[in-house]
Amino acid sequence: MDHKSLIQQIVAGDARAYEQLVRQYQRMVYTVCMRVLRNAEDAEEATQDTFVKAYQHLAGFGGSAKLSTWLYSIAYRTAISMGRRKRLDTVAAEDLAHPPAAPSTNEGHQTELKRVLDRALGQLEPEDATILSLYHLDELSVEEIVTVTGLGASNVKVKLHRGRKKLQEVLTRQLGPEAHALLFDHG
Amino acid sequence: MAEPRDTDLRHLFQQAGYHDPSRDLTSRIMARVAVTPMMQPSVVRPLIGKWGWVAIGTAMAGLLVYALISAPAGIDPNGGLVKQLMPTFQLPQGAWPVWLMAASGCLFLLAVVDRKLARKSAQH
Repeated sequence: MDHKSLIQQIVAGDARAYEQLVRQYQRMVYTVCMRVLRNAEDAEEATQDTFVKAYQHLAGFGGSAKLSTWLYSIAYRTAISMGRRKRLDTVAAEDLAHPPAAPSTNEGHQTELKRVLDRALGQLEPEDATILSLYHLDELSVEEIVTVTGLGASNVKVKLHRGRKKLQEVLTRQLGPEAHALLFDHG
Repeated sequence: MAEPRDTDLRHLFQQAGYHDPSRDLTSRIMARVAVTPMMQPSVVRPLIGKWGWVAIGTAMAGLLVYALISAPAGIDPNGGLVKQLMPTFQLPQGAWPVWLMAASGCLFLLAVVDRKLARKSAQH
């Protein structure tokens, strides 16, 4: 079902249609909130708030942007606002205090990669980490990131460049040259 | 040591994937949504409708014709800066009262604002 007819059903009062939309986008929204807030409990709260706000304003969604971009935009602003309220600015320092654990053979490759990436992204500014994630994971264009974050295009490009550079430094420091080469010498 | 390129980072991010929320997150969201009213979008409509503009246009055209065929009201169309810049230019004979000029200007501005509102309404 395309988004337009799904939205029409929701606006007409079909709760199941909204549940379908929530299921489709909740991981993406939750990931954006996690990148900003870096705390599972707060990210879940922000995800809930995002979908409640989206539901409230869905009838006014004009379709000028993609539905996913619109949801990301609400999620990003909700998480940023929650982060400001809770003043979560000490997480990066805490992560630095804990050296990375040795990779466990029991953990799946994806879980391990996620852990490594999360730890590395935790060293970046939340805004830079989110922009990197939107660009590389969600494959949003710079223009779409501008819509989501409300930042200027040149600012987004600077943050992407700075984020990539910092992420590379952190990964090299955390993993060492050998593991770094394993991650990036795949082609 | 290899430098990560854009494709390398994309590969890393996509291999790691999304974060997984708790399993009951959907039901918690839906429980909140069930008690949340959906807001209706505010509809922006033009201040004056199509027929309103036809009536205003007709009235203005009537006033203009009346002003043109009535006696001159004292504005010298042959003096001032216009005369210096364009010596051959002449306004049509007739009255050009200030109030008519001002009213035309106001109507023009109103038409511009109205047009913008109509466009905004179409976007919704």
